[in-house]
Amino acid sequence: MAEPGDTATTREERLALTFVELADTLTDDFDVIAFLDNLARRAVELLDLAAVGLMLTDHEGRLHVMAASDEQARLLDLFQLQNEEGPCLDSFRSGFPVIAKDLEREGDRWPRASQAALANGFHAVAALPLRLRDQVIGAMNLLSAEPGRPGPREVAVGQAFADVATIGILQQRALQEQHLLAEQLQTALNSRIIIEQAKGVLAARRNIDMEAAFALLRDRARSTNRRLSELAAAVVRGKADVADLLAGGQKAE
Amino acid sequence: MNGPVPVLGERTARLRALIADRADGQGVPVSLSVVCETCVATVDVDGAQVSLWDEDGQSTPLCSVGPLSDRLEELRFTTGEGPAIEALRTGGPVLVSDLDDGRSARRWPLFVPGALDLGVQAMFALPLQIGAAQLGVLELNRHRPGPLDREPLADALSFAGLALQTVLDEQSGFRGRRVVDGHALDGNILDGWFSDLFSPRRAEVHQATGMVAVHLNVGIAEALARMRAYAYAHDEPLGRVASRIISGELRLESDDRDKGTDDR
Repeated sequence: MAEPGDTATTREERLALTFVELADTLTDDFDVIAFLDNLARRAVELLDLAAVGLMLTDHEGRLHVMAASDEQARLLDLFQLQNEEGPCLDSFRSGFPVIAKDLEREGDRWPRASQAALANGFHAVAALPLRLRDQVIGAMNLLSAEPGRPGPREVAVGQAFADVATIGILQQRALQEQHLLAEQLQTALNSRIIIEQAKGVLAARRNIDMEAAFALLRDRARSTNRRLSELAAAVVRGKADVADLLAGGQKAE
Repeated sequence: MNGPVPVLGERTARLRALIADRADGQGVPVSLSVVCETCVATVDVDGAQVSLWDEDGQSTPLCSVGPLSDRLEELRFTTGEGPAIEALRTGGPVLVSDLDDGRSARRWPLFVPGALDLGVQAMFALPLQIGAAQLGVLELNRHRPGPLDREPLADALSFAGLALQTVLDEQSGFRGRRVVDGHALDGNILDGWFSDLFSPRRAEVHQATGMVAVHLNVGIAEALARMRAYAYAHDEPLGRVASRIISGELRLESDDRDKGTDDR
């Protein structure tokens, strides 16, 4: 896989390469969580942000973190907190971008979420909707360490990332039906639960923390060209082909 | 606009109340049958069936509502194919709005002709699963073809979640041990703090389930059952139990079903 930035110099070229690379991964046997994980990491890098998170809705209208630019528990908590209040929830409900460029001054819009963001060193936030025609299926959260961002251009590029994420989640199909949307969303939401369970299995087997467990899963999925959720299911079920992954570190009882 | 979203989904809370009302009206405890009956009465379908699946792919029918549900289950058992099996394989709902569309017959060449002969035109299979723990399937059937609209579909998904929790509760022996709102209710799906494994705040519960599976050397579904049993026995919220397992403060022991080692 080409690394954007290896040869290209301008930001536009790097952006173009990134979108081509993301589009390339939208194959038939594609892995939605790995795709979103990759997208979040690319977005944080190209938009020069502190963190990016992607949230998806369930059939109850609640938002679940599906991927983040890094999997630190504190960051995941911060994204998840916005299920109660915050720019992601507002953007998800309204279908429009929601931006607060200075949380110190605008923080009373979402007292708890803002306080948590500031406590983690984030001073500006934006949330962009994941939209499919008249329906919003989630939101993308952009976090910046310094106030005054993101600017209009960054919002536009961010929305392009959000649109690509939507296309990816819905796997390029023409979603004329609610059925297909429900099948895809439910499968994606459950995939994330499998990954959480697999993180726990690896954490207990190897005596590592959840972030390290996720990194292990992601690296193995990449190096073996395997779907992250399928690999995670193999880990949870203790399949023979992941025995070495399970055997590392602490011995199982 | 910025009001707090309850941990329990609003839809699930509403449907749970319908289930409780139905059970009260019949003077019976809440059970999987009542969940299925309420589902058929609420969602635009004619029948519902829940079967459990073990890890070897063997299924056990648990509850049927509607005239054709048992016959469909037999047909699935005989042919070894159909939407329910597909739902477990793909790990997501399989929603077939028209069994007679030709495409369905190509997908399940043995099952579909038999289902059409029975007069079933649409089937909606919803896995009872939480991550890699696949416990069974809720399968809805209807005489008339056509998709489930947005609202009934969302209700059906919530009923699948409620059916799963009822199955877990019945397996863990939680029947009839709680009183909520003055009613003695069977099964703690009606117990506010304990339920809804699908809340967005549950990442730690899923992680801890994975850890317990390793500690006890059991499958993921059994690990979840053990963790819930511990939480129930100690009247401690599941989320707290999970945090303590992850931090290493608590470790469930295999020789004692719900005591665990507590370093507090």
